[in-house]
Amino acid sequence: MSIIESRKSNSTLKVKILNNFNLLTRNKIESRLTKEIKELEIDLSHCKLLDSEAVIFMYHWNKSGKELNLINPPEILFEILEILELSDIWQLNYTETKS
Amino acid sequence: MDAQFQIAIDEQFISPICEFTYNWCLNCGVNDEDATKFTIALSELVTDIILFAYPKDSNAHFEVSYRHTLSNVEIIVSEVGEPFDPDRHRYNSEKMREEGDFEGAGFRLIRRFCDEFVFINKGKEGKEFHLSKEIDVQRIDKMIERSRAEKPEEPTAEEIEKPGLQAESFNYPQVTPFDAEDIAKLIYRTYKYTYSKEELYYPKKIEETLLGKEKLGVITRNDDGLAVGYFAVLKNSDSNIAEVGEAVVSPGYRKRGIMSNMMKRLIELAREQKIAGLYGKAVTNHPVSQKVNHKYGFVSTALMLADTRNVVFSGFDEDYPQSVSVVIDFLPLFKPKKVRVYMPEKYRDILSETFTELNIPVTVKDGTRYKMAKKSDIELTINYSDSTSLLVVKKYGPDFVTVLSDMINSLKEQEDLNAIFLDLPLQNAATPQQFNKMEGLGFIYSGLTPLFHQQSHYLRLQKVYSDLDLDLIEVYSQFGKKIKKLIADEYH
Repeated sequence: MSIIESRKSNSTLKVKILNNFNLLTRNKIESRLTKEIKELEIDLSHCKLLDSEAVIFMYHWNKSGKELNLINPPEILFEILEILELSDIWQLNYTETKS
Repeated sequence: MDAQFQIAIDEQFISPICEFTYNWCLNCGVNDEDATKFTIALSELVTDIILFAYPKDSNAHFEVSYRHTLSNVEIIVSEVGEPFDPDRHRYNSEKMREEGDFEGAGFRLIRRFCDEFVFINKGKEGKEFHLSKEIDVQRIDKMIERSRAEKPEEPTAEEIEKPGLQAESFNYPQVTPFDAEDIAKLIYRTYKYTYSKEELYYPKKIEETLLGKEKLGVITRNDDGLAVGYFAVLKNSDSNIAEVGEAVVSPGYRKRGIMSNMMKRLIELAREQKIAGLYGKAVTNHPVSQKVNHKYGFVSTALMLADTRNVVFSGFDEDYPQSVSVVIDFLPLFKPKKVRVYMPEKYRDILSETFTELNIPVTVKDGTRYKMAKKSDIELTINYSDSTSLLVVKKYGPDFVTVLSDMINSLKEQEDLNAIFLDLPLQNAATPQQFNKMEGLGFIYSGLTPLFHQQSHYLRLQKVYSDLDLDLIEVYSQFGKKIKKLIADEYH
């Protein structure tokens, strides 16, 4: 069973997380990143569990000057950011499409 | 134990184990938000093990075990990878800001997302991580504690209901899951609590334990069908014995022998189900429970000092100034087959006498010749609410004393414990000599725990950290007093 779906379009990689965002998911996304990719869009609409591997990956990606957009991040992500004291230093771009 | 998995060091297993964990938490009654957090904590730990524990062995495995009680869920992760101490990998937010270094981030999340996180260093025999989360039924938990510790009150004249009905007029059927709601109502009525939310919640928990066959009980109803009494035993998970647990009689129906009849019926039912023995952990801040146990032939076999936190409720035993110690009373329901036991010389007399009191036949052997296991196997259970832990020795390896000592030190560093209990297998020929090597670890006698694990007899020792006045410990039976005297001599 796939754990992500991804689609490249010019310099953007759009990723849909189908289950959890963890070490395996991170590695899968990394394997699809090429030099040309400057923007990463991650759809978390179906992601319930997300751990520090996911957060660290996204943080490093974003802090390296590349763009990151999240769609429907789960509430727990923001709690993890608080716990790791990232909330004040990392402005996440995200869109809520769920009602 | 609910489940146990042996998992390969492979990241593809993180999600399946998390899926199981999340659903298991929900099944145990953990709410969705806490189940998510607890699962993330496990995900962090498992990821760390996969990434760092076995850098040179890709075929290695680690174990994840699951267990739960009415009030908490616990996951134990064991591995024998590279030495590691989570305390040396603390998250440093400054380092993260300056260098982008997230070392220790996972452990910070684990600590925040669990109620208890204990790391047990077993030396050469690896490490154990205990992750625990309370289920949100604490007030119910306290109520059960209270029902164990409370001295039954006499009913007032106004409270006595249907005085014409005597104990023999009632039926004592075995409880079924359909009785769950009535049991909950009876308990609430009896203890005069107002539990608006839990009233809906608790019957479900009772129902689950009855459906899961963990509990065996009887219920008493009056001629209107109203539940007026309930008495149950809880089956042990690692041996064919059961603990006398919840017991309640509505105040208006006390003093007419209902409790006695329920106990008799329960003993009959337990015999029908081929349960080998019943035991009760009777509190010693008053002798009522011990008296009841002895009336039905239970024998006091051990005294566990500081086993339960002091339970303070308004109008009841507010002055009891120390943790409550308990007496283990045991009732064999069948005569067990004669087995060989190997007793440490120091406790040979008292243990032999206890077996005689119980009428359990044993052949006492000396343990001069025995074969050690390759590795020690010591099972650890932490009772977070009572601040105690129990170590059960399954196998002795060559480094048994070192492993035991490491485990005790790890425990003591992280948990403010009142007491540690240690069960040594009396049917293992290595016990006398290994016991002699334990001198200096500070354990004293607690007693005999007959048939307590895997249908085998154990010697229970205790290491007590709590200051106790032993004169405040009330032991009812003559034989119990003898055990207490021996313990008092060692404690002082």
